[in-house]
Amino acid sequence: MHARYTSRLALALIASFSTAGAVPARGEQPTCLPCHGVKDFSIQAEDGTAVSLYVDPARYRKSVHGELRCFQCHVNMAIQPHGIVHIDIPTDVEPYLAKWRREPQPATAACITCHRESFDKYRESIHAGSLAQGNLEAPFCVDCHGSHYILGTEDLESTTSPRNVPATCASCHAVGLLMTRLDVATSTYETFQQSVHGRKLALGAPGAAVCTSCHGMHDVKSPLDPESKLFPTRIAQTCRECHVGATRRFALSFKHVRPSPTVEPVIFWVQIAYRWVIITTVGGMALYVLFDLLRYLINRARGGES
Amino acid sequence: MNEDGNAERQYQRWDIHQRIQHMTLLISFSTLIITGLPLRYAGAPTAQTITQAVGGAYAASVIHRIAAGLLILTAGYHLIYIGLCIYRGKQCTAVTPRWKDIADFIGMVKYNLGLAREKPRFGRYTFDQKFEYWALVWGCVLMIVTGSILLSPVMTLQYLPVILLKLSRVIHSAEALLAALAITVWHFYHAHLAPDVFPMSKIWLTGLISEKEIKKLHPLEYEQITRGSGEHAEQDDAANAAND
Repeated sequence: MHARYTSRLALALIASFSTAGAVPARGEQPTCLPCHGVKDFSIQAEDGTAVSLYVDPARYRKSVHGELRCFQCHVNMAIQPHGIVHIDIPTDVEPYLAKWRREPQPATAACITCHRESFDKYRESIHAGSLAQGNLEAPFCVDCHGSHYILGTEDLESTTSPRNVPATCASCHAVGLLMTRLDVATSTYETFQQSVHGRKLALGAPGAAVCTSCHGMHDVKSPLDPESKLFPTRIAQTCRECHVGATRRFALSFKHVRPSPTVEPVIFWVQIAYRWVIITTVGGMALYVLFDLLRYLINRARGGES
Repeated sequence: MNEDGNAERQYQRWDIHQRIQHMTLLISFSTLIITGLPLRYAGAPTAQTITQAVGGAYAASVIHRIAAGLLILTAGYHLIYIGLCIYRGKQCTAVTPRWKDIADFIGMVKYNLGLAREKPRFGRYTFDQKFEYWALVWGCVLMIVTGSILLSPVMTLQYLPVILLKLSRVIHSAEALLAALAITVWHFYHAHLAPDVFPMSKIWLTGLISEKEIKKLHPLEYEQITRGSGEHAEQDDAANAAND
């Protein structure tokens, strides 16, 4: 599949060479940026909304792909300007391209040319399954990684840096409209932030567990899937990646739940009780102290002893 | 000022052991708060700034454990100190709660509200000091127990039920906030801001209290000392401490 795809790419390149004046010099950005590098550059979609076609050249150059030329991903754009070449998409990618309403975009499929391993893992994931079944909101490469401005995970600003992974996942998993339809909980982001893992991450602890540490990355699966890192038979092993000697009981003690009168009621009521103990104790102390100070000031104003 | 001469007479209030205990408690308590409380408010920018200032999240967790060790040592020191006090046959009951403390509290509230003309007359430790002492004892027990449970969740769950681990997390965090706020309001008022000691009571450094202060703040203890041996058990050790 891979070989066939690249040979098509080669064909496209040959085709582009035959088109006068449009071939970009090697090592330089091609002639795309005079238009696509202009901030307001956009087209009108069928429904009348403006779709920006702007690419920030400076940001693109700083991305991990900054050395690549546009048509290395936008393979069907190799003929300039916009002589669209038909590219056969590898058949195993096709099920996922229904996401793009217009002609399947080879740029999206292009990731797989170099990142075949990640794609093969992705194909096992619940995201891939969901997308292939026609849930067009399920993520493909660019939904988590971005497109033109992808940064390495070691870069703090990357959408897939440990610091940003929870927010990246939450951009779908905390959205009620998306998740309730799929019967997936939306409280996971909030409960993660409340957890020790989330708190440690917020304080910048190196190695604090994020979503992908437990749920898996490209091959993320439902915890109900026996192949999932979180399936009861495998979960202890997953915890042991960080917690030496972790048992299954230890593993199952961590849950994405918010204490309530029905879920973890003991914890819930202790939290409520503590809140009131703190308010009444500290409030009472503050009142006492205030009146003590007032008495002193009153006595002094009257010229008496404090 | 007094019969001894120009310089005001000073009374020994805290011996060197009590001052060392206060010092190590001060250091460990504030360090624990600074390195621990940011975890309760991890989402707040201030919490992140403080954590950066102490050298990052990992450094904070290491420092927190060292400070906890110092607090436990201080508690041990204090227990030995009290044990020796009892072993030597002294009366060590100056901080024992008494009915008089409740009466004193009501008396102070009445006085501050203008319902009573006179302040209650206090002994060696006033009711607010006793309250703080016992709150600290209870707080230390809670924090040391829950902190030990949280030290290694993996090990904890080999012996204890999951609910204890989760409860410890809640209690350790909430009790820390309570302790921090209580110290800020109660202790800072009584040891710093209160007009009688402003800007700071120096007993924790010198161990000494002036005749003027002891007369005003602890009149019953002063009477006890000047009368010689005590009639009331609760002031005995005060007299002992002063005579040591």
